[in-house]
Amino acid sequence: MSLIELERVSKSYPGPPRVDALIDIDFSAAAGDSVAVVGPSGSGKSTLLHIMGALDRPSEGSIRLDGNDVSGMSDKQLSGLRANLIGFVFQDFFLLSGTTALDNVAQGLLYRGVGSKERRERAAEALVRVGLEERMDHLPTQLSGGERQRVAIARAILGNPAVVFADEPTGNLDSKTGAGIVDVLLNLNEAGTTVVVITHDREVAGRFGREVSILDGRIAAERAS
Amino acid sequence: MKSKLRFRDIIGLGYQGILKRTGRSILTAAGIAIGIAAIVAVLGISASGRSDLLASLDSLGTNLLRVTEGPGILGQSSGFPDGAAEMAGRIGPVQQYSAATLVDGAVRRSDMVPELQTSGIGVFSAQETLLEVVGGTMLEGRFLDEAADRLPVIVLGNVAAERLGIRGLDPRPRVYLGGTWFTVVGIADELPLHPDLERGAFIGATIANDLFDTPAAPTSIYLRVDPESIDEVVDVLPATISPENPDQVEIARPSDALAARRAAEEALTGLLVGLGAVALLVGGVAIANIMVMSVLERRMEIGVRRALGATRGHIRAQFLFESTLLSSAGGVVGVLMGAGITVAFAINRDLTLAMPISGVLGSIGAALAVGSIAGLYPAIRAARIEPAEAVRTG
Repeated sequence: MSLIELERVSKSYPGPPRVDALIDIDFSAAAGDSVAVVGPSGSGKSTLLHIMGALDRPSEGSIRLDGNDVSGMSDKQLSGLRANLIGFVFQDFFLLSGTTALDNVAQGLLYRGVGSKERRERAAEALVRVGLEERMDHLPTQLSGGERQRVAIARAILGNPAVVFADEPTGNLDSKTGAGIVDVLLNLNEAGTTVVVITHDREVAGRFGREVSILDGRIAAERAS
Repeated sequence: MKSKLRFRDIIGLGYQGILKRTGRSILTAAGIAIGIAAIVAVLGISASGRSDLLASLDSLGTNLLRVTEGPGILGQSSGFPDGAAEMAGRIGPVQQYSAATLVDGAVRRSDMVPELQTSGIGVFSAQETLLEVVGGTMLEGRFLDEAADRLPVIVLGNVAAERLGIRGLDPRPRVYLGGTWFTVVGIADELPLHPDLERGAFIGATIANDLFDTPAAPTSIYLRVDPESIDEVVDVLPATISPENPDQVEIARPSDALAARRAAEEALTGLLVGLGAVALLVGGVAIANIMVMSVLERRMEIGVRRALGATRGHIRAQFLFESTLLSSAGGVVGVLMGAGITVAFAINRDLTLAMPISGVLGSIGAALAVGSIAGLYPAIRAARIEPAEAVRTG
């Protein structure tokens, strides 16, 4: 069974001017896949990621995540999916300023009702997994870009989500640091987590199992592994 | 699959939200603190003042009547008849009576002081019972007695003594009155209801008559009346005291003045509390303002939290709790400030300290209410932010 399944998904923003961000997308990913979504800016790839990640709802079509039909879900139910099934990584890291790496990561379990002691214990483990055991008590401003992105990844994987979505995770990093981040994501994938990454970097995309090209809201080409 | 935020964590988020922006939080809460401090201080000070006022009303008694001669229709003064006080004393519900007669003379510290310089001190020939009936006590020495009736001895009101520069009876001071040296035998304590007596000097009726031809007929009469029958006594007093000129009899109840002062103070208190409430309201608007701004600034945080699984309700709860916490902190600081002001004022003015607990609790409750109402709109706005929009870069 597919972990992510999109069927004739469209997303449009009623204007004016009316914008069709996604048109008739059919896509599916199985558990354990690693997928890169590529496309120029404005092609609709971020919108696709938000819809796959239950941050947004499609205008038409249906999505199933881990067997749950997302289309008819309430805000509460969508939030529940995000809290338990999904991890997000963003281009700009989005760490809370003035909060240590450890506490930033620990936020990842806040909305599962986990106690603070357990949150911090597991946050420490997750930081070890991304190679930041030395940086736990550092504030975001004391970390390099690559380190910040690792903190963000640790936050995303803290609760062992079935799938991690990363929106241009290397977009703000130099190529060497970016490659390190891709390594972390691929290691994660090898351990069993489905990873879906948006990038406009062909080289980065090439390292993932599948590559989906988006152009003007449609899937233009697909390379399967 | 559900997302769940523990209540403890909502509290934690609120604290973090406030502590991470310490300077701004302090400024925001200051408005609430000032409003609450104003309300608590006004309530405290007026309660402290009122307890003293009530105590003095109780100790002075509200059943004292003072009868004086008012201007007649033609403006002439005819004076009360001899024995008017005794006549009044015979009215059933009158429990005690006394009388004083204004003496046409001036008290001076010595014969070197010009005669016109009276220092505003009125000289009275007084009955021995006067001080007891008006509810006064002696600061030092004793009041006039039978033996003093014909001797050159004098008792001073506390204000009169102060004006003459007499602070004690040792060594025994003397004052100059009507060409004779009078020995001061006593100084009366404060008489809050009788400023004229506080400024008075009292001598015996016989010596007053000898030196100044002061008539025996009184110019003011003091009566203690059964509290139940005051109105009836007031009705019959004019005809009893002055059958010929009843329209010239003026009856006053000195405690009315205190009661009026109390009413005035209560009205003023209400006004000041109202001003404090306005300050509180302004503080609430400031909190709402800052929180709206904070929501705009913290779009990213809201987006991340939503991506991590926060529901709209969780975001709402976080912001609502933060503003409530902010204003309660302001409220607590305000209560402490208000209490401090009250204590300082009470010590400074020598008042009995009183702090109405209901007022303190009420103002903390008001701070809580203002904070949560002020936080409502920003919290709703924060919850309405679409997660996909909040996390979109560029």
